[in-house]
Amino acid sequence: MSKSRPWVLSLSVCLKFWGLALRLIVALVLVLVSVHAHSAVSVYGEAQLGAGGVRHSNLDFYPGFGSFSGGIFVFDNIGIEAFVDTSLSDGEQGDFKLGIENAAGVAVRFQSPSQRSLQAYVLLGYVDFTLRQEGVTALGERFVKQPFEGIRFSVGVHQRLKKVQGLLFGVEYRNYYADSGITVDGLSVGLRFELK
Amino acid sequence: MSSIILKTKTASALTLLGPLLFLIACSGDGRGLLEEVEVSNLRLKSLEIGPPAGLLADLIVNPGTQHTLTLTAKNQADLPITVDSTNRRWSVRNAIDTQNPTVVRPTVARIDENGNFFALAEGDAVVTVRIGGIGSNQFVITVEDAVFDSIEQIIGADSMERCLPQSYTAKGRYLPRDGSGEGSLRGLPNASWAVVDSNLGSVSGPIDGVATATGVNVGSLELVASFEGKVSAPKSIAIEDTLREINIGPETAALVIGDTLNLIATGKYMKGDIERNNIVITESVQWLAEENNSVLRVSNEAKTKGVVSSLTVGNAFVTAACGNVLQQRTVVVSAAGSTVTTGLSFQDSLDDGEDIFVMSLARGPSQVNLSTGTGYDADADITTNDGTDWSVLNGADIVSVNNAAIKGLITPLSVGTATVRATYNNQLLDIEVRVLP
Repeated sequence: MSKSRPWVLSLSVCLKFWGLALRLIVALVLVLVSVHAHSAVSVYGEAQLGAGGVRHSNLDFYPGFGSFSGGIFVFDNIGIEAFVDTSLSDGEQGDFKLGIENAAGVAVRFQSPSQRSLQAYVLLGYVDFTLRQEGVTALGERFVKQPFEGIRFSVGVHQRLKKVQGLLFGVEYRNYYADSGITVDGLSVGLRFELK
Repeated sequence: MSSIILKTKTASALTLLGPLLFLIACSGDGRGLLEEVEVSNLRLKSLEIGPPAGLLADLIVNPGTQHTLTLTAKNQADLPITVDSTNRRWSVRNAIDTQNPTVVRPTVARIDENGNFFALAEGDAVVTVRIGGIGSNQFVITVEDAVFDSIEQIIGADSMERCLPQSYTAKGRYLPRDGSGEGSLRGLPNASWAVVDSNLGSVSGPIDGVATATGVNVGSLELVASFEGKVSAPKSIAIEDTLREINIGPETAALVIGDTLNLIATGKYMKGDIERNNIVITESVQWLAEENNSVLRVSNEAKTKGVVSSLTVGNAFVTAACGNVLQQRTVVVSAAGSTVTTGLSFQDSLDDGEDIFVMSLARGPSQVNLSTGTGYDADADITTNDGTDWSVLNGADIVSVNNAAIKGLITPLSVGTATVRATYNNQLLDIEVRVLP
């Protein structure tokens, strides 16, 4: 039987209470290391509009959201980015309304080489998001807000536009998985600007 | 060369990605959102935590033991409804010691999300649970180290009617290990049960800590419990002479060879001037098939009592007996292909072309009407006919159906879809019932 080492316990406590901060620090370190190693990097920013799909208790909600992200390509077609989402509208089902109040996180982007200005990509990373649900029950108006942490997985395609250099149009499917019994995903369209 | 560099870069990126993903732990409790919808669907009004089956409401347990608490609920109409006690937000805390409120005591107990209570140290613990915005009562459990001493009492009715079973539990005295004080009374869910005179009745179980005693002949049934080598004083239960006759249904007892037929026994009781009919006693009568017959068998086993299975074509009689009160019915077994086709119809609640009976939880019970023929005909109504039997085939937690005083009256219990079966004259009709909020 191996005994728990104090530093392992400390790290565990640290992870528990400072998980988000630690993750962001790790992401920053990764970026700095990568930037340091590769002097020629390109940065990008993206704005998206989307419709989410939140499913639980046999109810489907389709809230609207906006998403903004910024990142750096640390290798060819491999980038690291941070993103934030904001709620634009709630989805309604019967006596209930549900919205993705906010979401934020970091992710690693893997994209394919460009073929006729078209690129496919996959995003994999961490997301912290909050769902807000309102409902009218026999108890009166009820309001529940619940934060979640989990994995962001996205797949999408980008089409480079010819008229404006560095501008791309994209369509994306995303899934925020938090193992909570609630499915959270969405479809979005957006514009991305790359600066080399 | 460029390919090797690309592979090296990709590998480096993945190496960096690994620790990043490792740090991502899924978290967040989605139950708050799910429960709000559940509360709305069930029209949940109240929650009540109770002791484990067979234990006393004033629950006292030993440290180191585990007990699964029960959860009951009522809806807005104050009707009992079923809620799952697992995967819930149970919580437990030490009760405040009013004598020494500032003294820090060890944690008395912990509880998991399935309502399993783990007694850790002596003291009082307060358990609560929440579903959405509905909170439960505060259920107090005392943890006290003690040893079993004796069976103090058998709890249950002092009298019973023939073939109408009654539930009994036992409680015992536990004394502190150091022998000080009077100790405490606790339920004995694992006690063994017996009756002194088996001609008067029988006892079965315990199931979930509860024994079921049934009297069959008039007299005084002596019930005893035993636990850890100690035997209780006998409890005398007077068996009243109120059973007047037994009836066996359905009236046309026929089945096709290879099929089974469920016989139902009902009793007619008279107590004082009050007569009660159609009291179902299928599970408590003794079922017997005609001696030496080769046509059929009838089950006398629990859960399948009264189920007739066919052997060959022919007739034989089946007896349902409660002590010396008995009734017989002839059962006909016919050859395959001679099935009577269903010719029953019900009056649809909505004239929408859908063969579904729609009702509302808010509006409460509704009467469904049944007639013979291929479409509902009020002139041929057999809803309350003595030969018509009503039962819930699927969804007993969604509806109940009256098969006695007001035959065909369906009471909604929760939102959902159930199937109610009507049988008449060896014909059956399955009615889909949809309960809306």
